Amino acid sequence: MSFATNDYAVNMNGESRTEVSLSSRMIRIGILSAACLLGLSLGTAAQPRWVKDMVDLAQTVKVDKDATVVVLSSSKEVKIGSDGHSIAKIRRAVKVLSPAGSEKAILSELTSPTRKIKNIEGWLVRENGTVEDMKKDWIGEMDATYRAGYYDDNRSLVASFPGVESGDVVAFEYKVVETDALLGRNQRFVLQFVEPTIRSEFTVEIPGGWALFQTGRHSDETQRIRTKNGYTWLTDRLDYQPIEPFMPQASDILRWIEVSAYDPTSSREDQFADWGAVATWTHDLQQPSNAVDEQTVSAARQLCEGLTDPVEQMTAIAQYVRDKIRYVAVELGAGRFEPRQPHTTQQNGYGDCKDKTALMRAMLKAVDIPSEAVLANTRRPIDPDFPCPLQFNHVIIGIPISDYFECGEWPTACIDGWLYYDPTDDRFDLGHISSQLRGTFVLRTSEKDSSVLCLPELSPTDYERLNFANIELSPDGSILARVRTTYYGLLAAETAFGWKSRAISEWTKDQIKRFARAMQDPRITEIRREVADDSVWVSFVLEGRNMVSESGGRSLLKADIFHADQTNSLVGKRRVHPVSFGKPRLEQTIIAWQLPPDWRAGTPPSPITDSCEIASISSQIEVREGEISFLSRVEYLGGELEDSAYKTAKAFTGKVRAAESTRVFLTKGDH
Amino acid sequence: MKSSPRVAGLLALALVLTFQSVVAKTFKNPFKWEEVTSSDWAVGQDSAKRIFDAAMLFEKVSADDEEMVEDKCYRTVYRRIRILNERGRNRANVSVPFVHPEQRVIGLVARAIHPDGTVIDLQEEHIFEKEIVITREFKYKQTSFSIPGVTDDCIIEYMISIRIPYAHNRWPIQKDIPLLDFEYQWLVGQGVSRRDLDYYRSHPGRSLPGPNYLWFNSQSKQKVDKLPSNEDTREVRFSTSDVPPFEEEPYGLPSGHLRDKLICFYGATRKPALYWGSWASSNERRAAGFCEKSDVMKEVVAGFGELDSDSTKINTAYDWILDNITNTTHAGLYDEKDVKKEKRLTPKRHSSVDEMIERGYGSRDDIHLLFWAMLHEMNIEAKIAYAMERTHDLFVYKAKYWQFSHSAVMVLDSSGAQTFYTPGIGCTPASHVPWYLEGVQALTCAYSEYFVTIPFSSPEVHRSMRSGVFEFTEDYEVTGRIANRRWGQFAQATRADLFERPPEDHHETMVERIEIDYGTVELDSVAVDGLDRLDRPVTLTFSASFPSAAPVGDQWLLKPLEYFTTSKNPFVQPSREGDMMFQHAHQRTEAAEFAVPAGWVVDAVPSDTVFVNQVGLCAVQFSFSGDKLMVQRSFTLDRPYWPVVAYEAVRELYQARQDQADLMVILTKRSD
Repeated sequence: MSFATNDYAVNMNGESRTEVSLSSRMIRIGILSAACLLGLSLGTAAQPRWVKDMVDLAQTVKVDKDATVVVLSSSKEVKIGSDGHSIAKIRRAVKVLSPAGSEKAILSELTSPTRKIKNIEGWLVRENGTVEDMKKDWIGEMDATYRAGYYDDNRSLVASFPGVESGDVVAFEYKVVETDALLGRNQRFVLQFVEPTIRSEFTVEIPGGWALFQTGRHSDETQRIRTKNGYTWLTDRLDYQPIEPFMPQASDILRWIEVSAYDPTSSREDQFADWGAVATWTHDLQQPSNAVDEQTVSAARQLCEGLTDPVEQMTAIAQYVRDKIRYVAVELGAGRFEPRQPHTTQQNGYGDCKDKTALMRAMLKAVDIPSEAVLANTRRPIDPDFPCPLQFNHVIIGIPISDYFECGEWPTACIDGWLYYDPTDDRFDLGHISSQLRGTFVLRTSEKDSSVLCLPELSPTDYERLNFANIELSPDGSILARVRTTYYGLLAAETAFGWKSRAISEWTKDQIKRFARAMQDPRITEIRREVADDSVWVSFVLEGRNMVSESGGRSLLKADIFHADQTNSLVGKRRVHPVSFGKPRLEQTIIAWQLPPDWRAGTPPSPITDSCEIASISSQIEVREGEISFLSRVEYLGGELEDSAYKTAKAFTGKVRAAESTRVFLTKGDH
Repeated sequence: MKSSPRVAGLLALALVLTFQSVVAKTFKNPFKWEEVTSSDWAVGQDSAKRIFDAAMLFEKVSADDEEMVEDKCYRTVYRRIRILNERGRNRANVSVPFVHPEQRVIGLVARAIHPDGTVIDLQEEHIFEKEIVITREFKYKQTSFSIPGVTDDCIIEYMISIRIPYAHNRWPIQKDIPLLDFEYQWLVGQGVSRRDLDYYRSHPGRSLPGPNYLWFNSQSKQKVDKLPSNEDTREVRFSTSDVPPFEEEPYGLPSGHLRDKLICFYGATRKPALYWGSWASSNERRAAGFCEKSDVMKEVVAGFGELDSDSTKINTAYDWILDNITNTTHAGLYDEKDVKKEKRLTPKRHSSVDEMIERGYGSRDDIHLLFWAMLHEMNIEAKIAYAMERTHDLFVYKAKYWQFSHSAVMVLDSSGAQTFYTPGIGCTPASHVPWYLEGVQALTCAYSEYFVTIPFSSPEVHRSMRSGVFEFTEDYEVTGRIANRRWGQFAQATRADLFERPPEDHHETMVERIEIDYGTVELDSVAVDGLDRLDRPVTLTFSASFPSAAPVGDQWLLKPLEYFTTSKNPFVQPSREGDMMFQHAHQRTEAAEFAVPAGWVVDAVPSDTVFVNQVGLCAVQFSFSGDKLMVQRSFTLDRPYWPVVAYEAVRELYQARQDQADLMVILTKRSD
């Protein structure tokens, strides 16, 4: 499902349009080059007053040395009409500070059949004061992410000046006309990019009597001014936002505002005064036709033949829709929001999240199991105080199950008597929800029982790995290890899916790469992979060389073969962003070393233990006659540490690194 | 559509007929699906043949150039794919292959076949067209389709026919899944396309091109099933089978060279020696013609005075060109503005060296012609040479079409020794060529043997010497000041990165490069020196902070080589299939001095280690005195090209470097 929003995906910096790939850059450069090759003369042109002001401002700004551009001004003035259509006037000016910045001076705006970019004007003001106008030859449209299997009617309009250099100021002014009422009433604006921003301004004008909801990131730190028919949000002097290791995702850090306008007096279904209105609108849109067609009914009954337990019926249908309907998105016209008829999806054997959910619902209905469409977002958090369907980018299914079994049986996918399932995610069986969705808000669109709710949080034990190895060390430093890794919870399902979808030779190559960080010439044989009820495991024999190094005549054994300096450490004195170690997870490692006869281990290193609010580590070595045990446990709890706790986080990563590089002194028999 | 097998036949037939009326009728020739056989269904997962998700049972290509004189050529591809699992189903999402920007899809049919005989056909609603690039001058429309009814155990097949304005016959045979059978039918065009007609009218002596073909790197048994004969002069048929999927290996030869492909082209019918000989002669004539009007050039050369040796003369001419001729090879790409701003000109083609000198600019090839003419004027024997850069593809002698991307100037001394010069390629010092031209075959003009090999340079030419002084901070970081001197290609790469960039831009550009070398690091104040003199090394100086493991109890284990350039061995797999090609031979020397942190003493340092084999050398030395710990590493790669038989030796060298980076120095807490 693609609820394509406006400004978040489109900006002059391209920062938040993550799907802009190298190929898009190549095409942009191609357009730029083609324009240059035309050998067009660059005449001197007049610049409007606001651009002149920006050029003057550019003389005085001082910003972080790592910044590649400074956004001098970024403004969007949008007028929403009573028909929901909108016209936005956008102005942006940046000063390029370095070669990489020239790419950020390229204009990129989403276009679609309902979203048109008009009256584009642009000015390139050289450091020596020369001004060049934007030429039509320097403007093009493209779809850089096009691929078979994902069909939509969006493109990016790209406009760029050739030969932009450090010191130049690039400014654009244009209009965005949106004629889809749903998209027109919803407006989004990124006030701050990674790059420093001197001034950002977002003005929304709505028809008299209308109201609006507001959401955003750091919006409470943004000045809001009431205007005659709307609001203006203003920011001044926002600093450069460096890319740092272990930082939260960009949408959590940058500053943006999103508004959803509505007419409280309107009886139209797509006016969203509360979540109830959103649920009703979505419910009607996502509802497959009331009379489920004979073909779907027949297929469902055939699948459930002989199954009397509703849970078994649900499972059979879920597996069918997950496995037999491949993911192909046709997001054209109404297909952006509406699912296709279930029998069409079934005939095609493909569909997107909406189609798969609608088919699964129709099949459940055929065996008298009720269900509802549930809106979710796989990329960014939902604001439960902002009732707007455009917050979501995905559809899953909700099934009321209190008549059949207790929620406690499937605790990670059940809440308040409803079971949630994502038939688009190939990895999981009924009863599991992906880590991307766990802990996020979703909207259940039941006609009678709609609500915004939070799916069960992910806990470290839902994503657990246990490494075990029994290793015989030879006097020449080579090893023969019997290794077994067990995966639990979601990680088990993900791992099993990975095994199913990749050749074992590819898996072996990856393991060789992994162990090559810890030893010479790793060789893997006797691979066995098993899927159990709540876990999956793989065992194999691992051989390798050079596990013992020497320092000052003393032999050092590398104790942990699973982690050879894998953990990135935090470095540097400054920290701007909170620290995030990612989703909750748990990894335990147990290694039993058997030394060659007459070899002894020296005094073991001190145990390593450390913890902070979002993670903990404990690692220790035990030594007995001819044997060494290495035990470690690293647990990440999710969440963030504020930048003020940076020193704690940095010390923690240092401890993890120390644990990963633990060495044990060995004494050979003749010493 | 899915139906019972009994009615499937009728329904499928009806659908096929309906669909044919919509789409298939536009094929140039009537199409017919081939029968699906039991051997098609018998294909299953097979690790020996690398069949896992799917296998292409066959690909049949028809290249029809019969209407070439009308600027109409047709390419029809018919593929049948056995789907073996869920991942394989994605093969049913297909984009029409890109052959030519002006291509038009004229026929498209596709279907899925289930083991029970059910057939599900592609309908128009499953075909998607989108203009994915729109500029003022150009639009490109991509056609894609998603075949319906695909299961994880079925066969899909499709036939696509496109019309292109002129013959294009470079066909990649090797795919990313195994191809079991390949057939290619070439219906040879007679005559010349409208596009080429003018050329042949204006070159009456030039014989008309004839059909040629080449198989490249065929890993399987290839066959030419039919050649044109007196009875049938218009058809050629090729076939091959069991083509494995293409897999890229680290540091392999260019994939464009390695992939199996078939090239059918219209070119000379002469033997390659005659063909290349004629190019060599015509190039020489062209060069001589370009230098005919050369009074100004002669004046310039006369101004060099009485230089004492050939090498001085060569270097003087080289420097004169760099100082006086603006290189406009990439004008319009990124330096057009400078040319315009400074000289107010638009790059034009020159008719003579004098015109070029008067205008003050020239393309790479123009500059090489000028350099060659100046040497000629000074009675120094030199030849223009043409070569293909080895990043994309490698030269093939039998391929009788122009394959070269670059020119160079070959200078011969009295003993016949060859030295290559490329003043027209930015940032290249005299008597050097960029690494991507080293080791490749070059076509020379009127030389006794038309081809010479541009030699690889030795590791001593490409040196990097890095030295740093480091100390540990209280929160377990290592900070230091590092100086790095670079020679040869190392220096050239830095110059190319910073070409015409003002000093304020150097920091950002070099930070990216240094981070590639070092991994997790925080950098400050990168300075660059020595950019202006091509014959001198470039020096980078910068401050850096690295993470370090924390001490554990009374012990602190340090890996000093972690603070050198990254040492990960890229060759971890036990074997490989293809030869290895690095950019260039090189020598890296890195030295670091660490201040032992207060309260700690060096307890033990590893012994010095040296690894040397036919591929190169890697050596590490440790020493300490008082509160200073010193570490030095030398690494040499003797040659950039290694045949696959040397894999074990290459792997050992890089493994030794990785192992050395793991060596540990033991610090203990000072007892007092």
